[in-house]
Amino acid sequence: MPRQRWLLPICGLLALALPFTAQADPKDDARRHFRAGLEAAREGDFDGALERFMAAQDTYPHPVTIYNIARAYQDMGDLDNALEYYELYRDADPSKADDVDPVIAVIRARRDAQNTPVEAEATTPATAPTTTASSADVARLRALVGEMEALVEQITAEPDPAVAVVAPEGPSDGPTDTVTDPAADLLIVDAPSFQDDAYERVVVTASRFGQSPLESPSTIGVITAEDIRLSGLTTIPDLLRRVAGVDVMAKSAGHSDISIRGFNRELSNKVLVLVDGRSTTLDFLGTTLWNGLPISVDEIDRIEVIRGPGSAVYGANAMTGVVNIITRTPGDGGNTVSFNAGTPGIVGGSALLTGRNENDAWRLSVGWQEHDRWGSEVDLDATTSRVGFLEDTDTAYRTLRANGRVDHSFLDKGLASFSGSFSDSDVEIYNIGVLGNFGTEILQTVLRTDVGYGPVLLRAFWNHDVGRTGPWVAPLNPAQSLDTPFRADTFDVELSGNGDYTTGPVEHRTFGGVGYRRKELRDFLYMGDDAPTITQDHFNAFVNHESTVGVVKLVGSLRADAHPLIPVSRTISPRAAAIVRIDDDRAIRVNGGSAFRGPTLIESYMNFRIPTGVDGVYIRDFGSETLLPERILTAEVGYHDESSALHTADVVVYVNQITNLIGLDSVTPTAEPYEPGGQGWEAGRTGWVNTDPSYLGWGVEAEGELFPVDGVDLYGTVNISSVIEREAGVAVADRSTSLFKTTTGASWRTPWRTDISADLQVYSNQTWRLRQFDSAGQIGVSPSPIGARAILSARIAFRPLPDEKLELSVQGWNLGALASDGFREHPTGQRVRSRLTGALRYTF
Amino acid sequence: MRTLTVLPLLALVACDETIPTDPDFPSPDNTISGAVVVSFPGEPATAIILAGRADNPLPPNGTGRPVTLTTVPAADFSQANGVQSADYAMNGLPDGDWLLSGLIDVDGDFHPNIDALGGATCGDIVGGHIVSLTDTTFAAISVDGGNEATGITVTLASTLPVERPAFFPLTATGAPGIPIVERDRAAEPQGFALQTTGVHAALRRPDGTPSISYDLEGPYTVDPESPAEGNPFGLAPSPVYDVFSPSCDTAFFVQFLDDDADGMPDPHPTVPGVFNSWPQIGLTWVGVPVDTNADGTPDAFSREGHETEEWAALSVVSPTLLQAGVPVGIPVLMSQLPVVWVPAAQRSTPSTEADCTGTWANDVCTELVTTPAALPTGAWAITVIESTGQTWTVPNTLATSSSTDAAGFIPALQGSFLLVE
Repeated sequence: MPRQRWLLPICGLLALALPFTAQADPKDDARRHFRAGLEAAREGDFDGALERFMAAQDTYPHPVTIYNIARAYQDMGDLDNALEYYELYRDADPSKADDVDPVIAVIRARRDAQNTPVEAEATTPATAPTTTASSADVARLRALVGEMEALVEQITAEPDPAVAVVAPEGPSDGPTDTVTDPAADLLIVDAPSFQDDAYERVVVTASRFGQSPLESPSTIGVITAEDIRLSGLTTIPDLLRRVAGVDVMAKSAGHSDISIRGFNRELSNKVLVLVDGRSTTLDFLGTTLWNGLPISVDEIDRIEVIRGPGSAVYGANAMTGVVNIITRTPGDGGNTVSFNAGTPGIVGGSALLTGRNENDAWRLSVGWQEHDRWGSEVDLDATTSRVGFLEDTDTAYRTLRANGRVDHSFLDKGLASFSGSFSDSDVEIYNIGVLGNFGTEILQTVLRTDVGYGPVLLRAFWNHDVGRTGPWVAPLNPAQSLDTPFRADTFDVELSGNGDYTTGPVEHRTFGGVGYRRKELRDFLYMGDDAPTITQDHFNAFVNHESTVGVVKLVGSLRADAHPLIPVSRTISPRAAAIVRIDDDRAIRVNGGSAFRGPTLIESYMNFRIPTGVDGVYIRDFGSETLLPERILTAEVGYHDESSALHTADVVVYVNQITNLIGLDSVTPTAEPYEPGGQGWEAGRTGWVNTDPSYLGWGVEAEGELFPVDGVDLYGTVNISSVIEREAGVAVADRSTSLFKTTTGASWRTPWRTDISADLQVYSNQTWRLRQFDSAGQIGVSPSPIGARAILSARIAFRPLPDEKLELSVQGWNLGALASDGFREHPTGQRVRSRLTGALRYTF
Repeated sequence: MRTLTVLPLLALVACDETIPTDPDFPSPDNTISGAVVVSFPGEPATAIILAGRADNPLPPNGTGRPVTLTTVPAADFSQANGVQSADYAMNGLPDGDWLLSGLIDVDGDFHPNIDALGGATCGDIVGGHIVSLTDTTFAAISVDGGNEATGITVTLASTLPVERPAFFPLTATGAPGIPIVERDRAAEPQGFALQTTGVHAALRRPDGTPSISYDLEGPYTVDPESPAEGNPFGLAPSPVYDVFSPSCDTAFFVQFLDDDADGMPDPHPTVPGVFNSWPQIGLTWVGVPVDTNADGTPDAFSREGHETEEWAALSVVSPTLLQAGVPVGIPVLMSQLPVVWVPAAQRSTPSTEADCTGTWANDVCTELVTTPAALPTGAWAITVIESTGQTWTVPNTLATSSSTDAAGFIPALQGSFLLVE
């Protein structure tokens, strides 16, 4: 092992300073305190409730927590503190000003009245009343006027469920030693007076509007910003490894293929990847270039992963799941600057600036990241028969990126958002089969706008991708060059709306819309020597309806996509779900649905020469415009439990049927004359077809989290999944996905401004049935096993300054590879090795 | 504090690591490159460069087959003073020693993936990487370690004066068909004859449209009344042969070698009791003919019991030609070739060196089998190798082609073979 590798943790440790008193702010701990505070308040223990709310506020500040603190003080009679915290609440959430200002006025009036001493009037014989008021009378009068004004405002304002005003039952009994304030009885808190909607988990991807995971009609996993921070990971695929049902296959450090519930494949194309709901898929290729995304992990608020079909909501390619990367809302969180460096060849940095004023919020982010390859097939320094596609053949990926977003609120209910981003990347990505690994230079540009008013939203985006690609290492002057430029555009516009209404006891919510997408591909030589321009226009319409009565919610979704090559009948994607709330914190979910993956532009229009290893002899590969979409039919049953502040749990059992998978046909030998343009002879032809096998998949996924004490989080997932391929009555297990996978992890936010975390993922063995051309030009299957493997990761971080704005950390990923040569995640991939990284992060 | 925290991070950046070379990946192939130089006054045409192993040379120096090839399009050539040149690069070569040969496909009828079309035809310019302009022996090129051997010149300067020896076999009665020899009668001379044929074939795509036409003029016809033009040897006209003069009709280019100039044909270097002669006739075992569709006509070959074995044998030009007047040491053209079957063959099987009782190399054991009864029965492909390096083999793909000249070419005859019983 190179000696230098051990210098890294030492280098990282040099950066550590002496620890000081810790202060961590995990949302889960805050939730636990908050719920305990609500419980105490319900029991009338306002002292206890106040203590818990304060702990929650200290752990993770939230406006609703501030409100509840104010409410607790009020119920305890401490009006000074109640007034202070009501005013803090208004400042924290200006949108609630109309609701809380009357309360503040009443509290202030009461407080003032309490603080103004009043002397008892002297009793005099019936004498004419004096015409001059004493100072005490004036003060009392003012207090009464203030209370009456507040009362008038209260009565004329919209009712606030948190505050109830009850008229006094009768007049007071006469003068008292202190101000007898009739209005003191005016403000009587009516239960429930404390707000409970704080720290609740919200997911949006399953239905395209915010809802609790308990209400989600699909199985959904969430990776939070805190999860990301504690992991120290800087790549999204590695973050996704901890989600049950998700397979991450890294053939190189430059690119990972993500699959959900089976179908672990090269250039995986059955998972839709979104950033804030915008598709990131390279439509001509059908996959997402993860390391070319124009966002850094610092900008991520959370990642939501739907396991199961999502075409009913998102259309094509949301076949086995959806990954939605949700970025932080502009104005939320602080500004950050971060740097990271480590091995192998890891260097990166980012800066994020964000802010807001009354109606506007903005966010600007820039960054770069690079990472060396895990290994090299060829020592190019000692080889003269090969040339690298990219100038730097040691780097797996290098990305420079920037993005900006501005949100503007208008007319109370309106929100307009404008964003733009670009990334300039050099990436190593493995192509399918014999083509091997490619180098890709790509410049990705995105422009997006969202304009909404009330329940209506108009969204448009434009993805523009330009670059070139070719074999990572190629022979000198090959007869069939695989180098090609490309230029791809996706323009998408969607109009959607939602509405709520009630019919009797049934609450309804409907969300629907229409959309249009245009895809263009130019300059791509794999479509023919003349690189024809490929254009497709797509239309869609979708509707999602929920009806809730009592504890039962029924969800029905339907989407139809008009594809230029596929009949609409083949794209109809329904989904149905029933969610039964056992109680406020537990739910059973039953759902089923269908989804599809449309053929990529390559699969439809390809006209390409596949090299055979003999210069001058190639196989011609044609696309097909008659391909049917791949199809999945799913049924699942799930149970979600958040019944205590100490845990969450989710268990789901599913079964899938998949048909019409698109793949390459066997080669038909041909005899064609010499082709000068191809500098060779065509020896055979193949093409993209809907393959014959059907697939039956089933699985069990269990996830759980424990929050036993402050600062400690424990989590784990267990995943059992199986896919059976059936063809002509013969069933064969598809073991490209591990039958068994488990993740366990723990994090401890210590009292000494130090975080420690560790994570272990274990995968059972896999057997890949590699489909390759044999010497007869036919597609044969070659079983290739991969042994079981484990990925152990750990991180330690600490914040040396009392304000905790500076964080220094050291993390190791796949630490087991330090004592071995690593492992492969595909028979023809590189050995995945370890990463040792140090990082600096400053928030201001 | 800020400095103290930044410096160690800079140290992190400096802690670099060399990317390891993964030993599980195969060694990279090698490249040979250089210039192809052609002595040809006509318009440039596609050059094809073939690579064969030095220890198993391509015809006429051996019976090896090309391992890989590369092409140089006509458009790449520049021309000056009657010499054309272009750069080439031959990729995909494993470690080892290689011989490069090449041709200019003047008539554009070469095809590497169709067995019958994978040869140079009359008028093509041939050559290779030779020792020097005065020593035209092919020179071996060594490559290994994923490297490029540069500056390797391929010289193409010899115009083929004869056509490929396209043929079909004759039965014992002299009729076109499948000749038969019997192992049990190996003690007596058994032979068969080959007849040249013109080729006028059309290959078709699966949809029936024609894709490639292949035309070889012929068969060469011996004119027994007219001596060869020039006739430098003063030979009398013969009904069996013509003194050689260039002809692009399909013919056998026959010569009994007399390298020691003693006026007697030289003995064969490996087969006792026969003469060293051109063309060489090679036999390779195909398998036992089977009729899979029960239509009375064999349509496949079975290798059951011999799946891992490769059999190769030699047959020789019949010495009866000497009695017919074919001169010694002088090349002549013939349209029919009598052949003597030699009841011996070379068997190659995968083997470890310890288990090999013959010659072992590259995990293959090669043994000479001289017991006729041990030879496999069934169909043996017949290959004629000319001294020019041109070859022809039956059976071949043209058996299923369409004839564009039924009088001059019968495709079915290209499906013939020697049947050993």
